[in-house]
Amino acid sequence: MIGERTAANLIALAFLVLFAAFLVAPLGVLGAQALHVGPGEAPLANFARYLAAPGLLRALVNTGGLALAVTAAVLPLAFLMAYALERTNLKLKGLLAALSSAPLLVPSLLPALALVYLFGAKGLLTPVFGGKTIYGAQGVFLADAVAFFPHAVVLLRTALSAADGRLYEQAEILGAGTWRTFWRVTLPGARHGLVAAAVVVFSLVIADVGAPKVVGGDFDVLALEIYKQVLGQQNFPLGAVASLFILAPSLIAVVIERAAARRQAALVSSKSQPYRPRPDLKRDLAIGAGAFSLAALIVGVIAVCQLAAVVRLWPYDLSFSLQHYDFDQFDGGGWSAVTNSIVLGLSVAGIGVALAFLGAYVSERTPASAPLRLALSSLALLPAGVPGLALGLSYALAFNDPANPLHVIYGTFGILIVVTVIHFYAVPHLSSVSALKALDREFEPAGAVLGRSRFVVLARVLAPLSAPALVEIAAYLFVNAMTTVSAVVFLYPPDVKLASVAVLNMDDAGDIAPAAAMGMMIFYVNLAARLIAVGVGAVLRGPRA
Amino acid sequence: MSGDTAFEVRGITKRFGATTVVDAVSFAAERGEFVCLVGPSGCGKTTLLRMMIGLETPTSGEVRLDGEDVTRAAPSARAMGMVFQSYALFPNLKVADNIGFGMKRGLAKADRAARVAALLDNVGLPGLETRLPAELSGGQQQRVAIARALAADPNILLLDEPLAALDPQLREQLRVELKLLQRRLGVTTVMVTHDQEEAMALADRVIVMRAGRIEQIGAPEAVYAAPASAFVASFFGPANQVAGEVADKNLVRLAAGPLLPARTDGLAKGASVTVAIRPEALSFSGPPDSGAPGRAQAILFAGAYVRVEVRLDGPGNDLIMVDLPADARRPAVGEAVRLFADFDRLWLFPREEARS
Repeated sequence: MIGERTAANLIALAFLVLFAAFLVAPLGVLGAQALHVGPGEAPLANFARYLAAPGLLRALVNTGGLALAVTAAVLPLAFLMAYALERTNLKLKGLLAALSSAPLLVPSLLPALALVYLFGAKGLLTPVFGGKTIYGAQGVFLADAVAFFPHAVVLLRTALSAADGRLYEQAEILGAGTWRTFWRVTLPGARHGLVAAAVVVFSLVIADVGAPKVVGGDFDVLALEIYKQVLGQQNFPLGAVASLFILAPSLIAVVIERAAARRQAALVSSKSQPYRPRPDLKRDLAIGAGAFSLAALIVGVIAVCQLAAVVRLWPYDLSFSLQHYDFDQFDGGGWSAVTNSIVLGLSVAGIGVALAFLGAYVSERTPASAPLRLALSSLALLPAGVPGLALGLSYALAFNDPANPLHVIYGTFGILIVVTVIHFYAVPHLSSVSALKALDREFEPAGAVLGRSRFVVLARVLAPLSAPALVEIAAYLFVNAMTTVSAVVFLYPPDVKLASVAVLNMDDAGDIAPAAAMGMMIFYVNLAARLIAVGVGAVLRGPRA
Repeated sequence: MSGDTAFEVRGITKRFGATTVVDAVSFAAERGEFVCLVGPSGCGKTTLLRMMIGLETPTSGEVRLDGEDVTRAAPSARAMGMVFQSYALFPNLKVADNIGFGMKRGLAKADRAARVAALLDNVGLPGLETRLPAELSGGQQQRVAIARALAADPNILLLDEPLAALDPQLREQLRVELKLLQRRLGVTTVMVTHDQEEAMALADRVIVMRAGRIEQIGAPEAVYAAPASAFVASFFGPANQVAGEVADKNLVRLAAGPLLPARTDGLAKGASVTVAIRPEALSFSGPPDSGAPGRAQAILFAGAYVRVEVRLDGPGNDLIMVDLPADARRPAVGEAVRLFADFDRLWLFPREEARS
């Protein structure tokens, strides 16, 4: 029998091999492709070529400006929402939270579709604005703001929920007024959350291809440029260079985000008292009005897509029709795209949960050697810094190469599962780590004293105790697998269409209504998945709570 | 050791990198004895306990059980049970499954149930098989943890701060119950605690540890009455400590100035010493023109006794605690007093270099 330490080391090594094969090596190929030059050219010729092309340089500048603008607009609004959810006595907070997080359940191009329906060439409201359409920077800005608003809310809620109630009592005793307390206590207490939210929104915007594709008009951004270079012109070297330009800031962003999250967590001491908002009707009315208006706008955007999907001919004939749901009539993959996506979601959820939990367990709670554990936990976070387009392109480059021993997975459903699991790996890993950290460290020694190995303790104690967290992780993976476009758009085999990609392709082909209908199918499937997760979680928590 | 030695460690040492956590420790436990390892946090007592049961491997030295070397044996192969500081009861498993967690897999269901029932009975919790740990009080959880530790019928029971997780009132009550339970079971027990009162109340023998080494081993009364070092004197019950110097045979001069009679056996004249005495070994009455002059600074009423804080006259501003019976005459705050020490209970220890 091999020792527990050896077993743990072997598992850690297996994880490192997986990360090497499916993360580090493809990214290496991507980098090599960017540097690959013809004979007699300077080593950075691709970069020079890239920067010399006026369109590409403009895309670079556009992307930066867009990301800054969206971040600046989303942050205060998301803060308002998070504040309403964490720091007021509003009624219906659960509803407010659910409504405002609706964009998490759809591909990021769905809000863009709604904008087209409202303010596009045939937009319902376009005449109101004297016929001016939304295509261009302003459209991408609005669509991204809606799509990524909930991501910022999640991070800011975490920051605002962790307040130390004693500080507020002290501020009150010292006579600080509402504003002073807000500026001197509330904001500083949430500053790391603000930093984290800002870098996350920034890196989501620069990596998004959906909104620019749908409402960008001639407003060029990097992500779209990569998409066009690769799918349109088969220019892999330039695509690779462009993707390094979104990869680098994302990597920096994840480092900043992690540091901010650690500092935010450190602000809460074991002596902290939970903060309870005082009754304050005026505050609640004002903030509630703002927050519910925002939620209504967000839901309105989604609802527009649903409406447009069930009318005969927007905006001329608004009579009810299900013709756009006859997906098999359009170039998108038909209904099989929906079932394919569900199968992908379930596979990614199952495999991702198992891997993330085992990986987190090995890196957090076993006697595996320290360098192995450090390498494992670092590589597990790396995907958070790799935009889906960059990862997808790196896979296309690496696995399309017949010399790659893993070439066999290219063009199969398997590569979609692998790329999606890797793309969304960081959050499940971190959630598993915190679930495992919350469990008594003496469980394994207690098992050892009773003659049971740590793996028996893992199966009989740690895994059942972590089950509610694992259900959450599964739902996260499922929802993201259903909505992701960027990671899979370069990789899906011709005979395997996915719902999220179908939305993109049908929009591209001018079938906007079927695209909206398909986007809403994703929404309903994801909504069902979330509800099931909530229900299962409640059952699992029930007897112990 | 006699043939009744249940358990012994010999020259056991544990290093983590450059840090020596346990330094060549040896001791033995008699069959049925209750031994307490006591010391401040970081003194190595928990590491020592974990080496005894095999959760840590010693850097050197050996662990012997009934005369047999078990230093490298797996924890479960040592006929030892252990109760962890947090109890480490598995929250998702019922009491019966917690207790049965380590039982043989082939055991028939009925035998297993009977064994669990007997163990629960033994710790005074019959009929709680189907409860979850969260449905039990802190004291009940502790006893379930003991039942689980006893499931394999161990020869030695190890307890790691078993009372630390409880609130103070319950802690005192459970102290008594733990003592009675150990007596009734007759199992040789080694307990780790940082609480000297707990050690005094429970142990047949205490082992006082400091910085990885044993400072003193003995019955609680003996250690309290005759501490082997200044450290033991102040760790094991309160003790006043001031600097002094051997002035003559059986005479010590405190740094503050006054001379006091004290036993100077084995100490050369002029040797620097730490003068230590328990608060209850001091009084305010003695022959005139002797004793140490000072001034009462504060009076603290503590129920059974009254503590008087006295500032000694002279350099150093030493503050001395004096405990008087509650009904004794006590000085007023600010009153000039003279302190007299019980000759047999005034201890002199060679002054040692500061060590952690």
